[in-house]
Amino acid sequence: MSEDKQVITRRDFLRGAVEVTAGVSLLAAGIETTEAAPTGKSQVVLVRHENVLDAKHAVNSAALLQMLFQLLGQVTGEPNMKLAWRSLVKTDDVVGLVHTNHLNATHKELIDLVRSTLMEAGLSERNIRMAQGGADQARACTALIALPALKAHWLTGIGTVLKNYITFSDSPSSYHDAQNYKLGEIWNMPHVKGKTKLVVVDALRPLCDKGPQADPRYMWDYKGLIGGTDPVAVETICLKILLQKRQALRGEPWPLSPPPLCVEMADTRYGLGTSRLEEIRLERLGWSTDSLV
Amino acid sequence: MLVSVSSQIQCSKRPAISSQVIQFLMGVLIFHALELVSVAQVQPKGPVLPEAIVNQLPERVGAWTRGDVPRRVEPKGIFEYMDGAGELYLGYRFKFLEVHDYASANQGNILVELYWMESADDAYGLLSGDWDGDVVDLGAQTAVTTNLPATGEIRALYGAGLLRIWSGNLYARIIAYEESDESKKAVLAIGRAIVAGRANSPAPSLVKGLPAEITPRFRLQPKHIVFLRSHLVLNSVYYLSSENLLDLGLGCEVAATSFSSSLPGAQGKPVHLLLVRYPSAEAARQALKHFQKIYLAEKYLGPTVFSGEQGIVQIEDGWLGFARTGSNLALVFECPDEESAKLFIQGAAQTFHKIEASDE
Repeated sequence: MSEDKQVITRRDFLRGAVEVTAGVSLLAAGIETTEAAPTGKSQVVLVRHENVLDAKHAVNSAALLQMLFQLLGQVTGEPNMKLAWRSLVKTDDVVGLVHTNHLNATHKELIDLVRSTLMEAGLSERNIRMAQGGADQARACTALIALPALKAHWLTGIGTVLKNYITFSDSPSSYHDAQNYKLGEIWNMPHVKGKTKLVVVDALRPLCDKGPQADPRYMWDYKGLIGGTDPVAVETICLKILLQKRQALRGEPWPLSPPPLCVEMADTRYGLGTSRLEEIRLERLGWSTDSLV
Repeated sequence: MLVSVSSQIQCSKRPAISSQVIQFLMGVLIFHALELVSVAQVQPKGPVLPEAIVNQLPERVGAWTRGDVPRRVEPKGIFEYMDGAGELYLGYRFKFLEVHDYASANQGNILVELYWMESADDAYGLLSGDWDGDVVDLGAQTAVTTNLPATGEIRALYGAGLLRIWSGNLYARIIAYEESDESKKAVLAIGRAIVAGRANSPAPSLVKGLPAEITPRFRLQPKHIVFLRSHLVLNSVYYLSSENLLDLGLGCEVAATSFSSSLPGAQGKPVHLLLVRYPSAEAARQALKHFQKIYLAEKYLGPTVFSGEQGIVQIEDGWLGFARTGSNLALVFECPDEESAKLFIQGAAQTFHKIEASDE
């Protein structure tokens, strides 16, 4: 870090004063697969289905349900959806679904499936809320399911998992611009901490450039869901996919700018999970073409 | 109210309009202009929409029909329109946004966003954020070409359903949510209607002044040229710091670009050049001081290898050069050696000199 204040510079990265970010290290490092998985690592599950989107990008809900089932089963080890949800939330929990509602929003079909399968698992409809929008939304919930969509962001580098809770701070602008590295802080606020039971990233049709408005040139049908209980590990895999897609588009490394400071900081400063690839166990299921990880 | 009156004017398809039709339309336009004057007289406050554009937008294009009333977004309301994205437009001198929707029965909608800026430089800056896409000549009926002219000559770019236009002080985004051959034709037709009769502006003087090469070893990469004013935009192009080290703001003009290097191996990485014009010499002096204090902290606080307002230092990613003359500041990053950093600083000085000579 630079002298006497919280100013991060390019030179800090180059010197390693800010520990090597996921964005940098991901370019060089390999990712372990299920076969090499020792215990003690953060699990991230990637599920893809070739037919989950049609040529016009419309969602095939049956295929999406299958993907959600696979993901939940892999994360929890339970044989069916009901038991999987019941291992994550209690039937009397007030569950908040925290989706992304702008710039490549979470598909409604995914939100609807999460809601309906939670109900099938025994939760009452009135205890399942759409929780995006403010601190009171989080306060009203005893459990949260994060449902962000995969995208880059022009102010934070990546705008997927960690940034998805920005409205829970009741002061989103405090985490923009120079302060974006603090996004992890929100996950430790008393009304948020410990409530997130599962992260499911909508990677059906991600956005790999920064925006700020969705540009169809940088969206593609990846047809995936990425999930886990470690939000930083999930974000790290998301970052890897974005960077690999950008490199594929340009034919050369195309780093995110600004660098996604929030990912590493969520690990090293806020202790939310791991951004270190050697501590992540990626488990892939389903369609494998152009998976990018 | 002004919009709904004027939007009743149809100006649909461009080809083959007879002189009688033109006379009729002129008559209608004059009638409505007089009507607008009278309306404006009883509504003295608030800027008036640029009626020329509204009138030019076709009411129908292909399978799409324009909505009657456009939305208007002021700077204060831009975050409600685009949560988390308004900083880009506020990073330039943004006046207001006008949004038109075209609906179709079964081919998705087309969104037209017209960003009215203070100057042509600001509108150019917005287009310069991304030079990728097919270059479009909207003056021609057959629009798309793939030959890449110099960036100062590019007025419109198309890709995957999105058309982006720089036309004077207007930056426009026209996007078809379901791309098809038909939607592409419609998008381009709307684009042609928007620019019709509008004069082209030159690229910002800082951009025009960029050298094509710094010796044959370093060649300008036109697709990397960005004109900007805000450190947030700079960070999205070339990340320097979480803080606004260069004291950038709406009063500044910045050309950021890179030069490819023909040197082999690690020395062949691109060199990054920033040219900044501040509102005053004092502002430039303070900005350089700020930059030196934070970015060159070790050099600044310890033994120095430079002095005053010009210097070349070796840091982690290569040689960095800087030079201030009056209200101008040049910075070059990631040079492979001291000599090339000197050449870049000299080239920047010549650029500033040319610009100031032309200003006079």
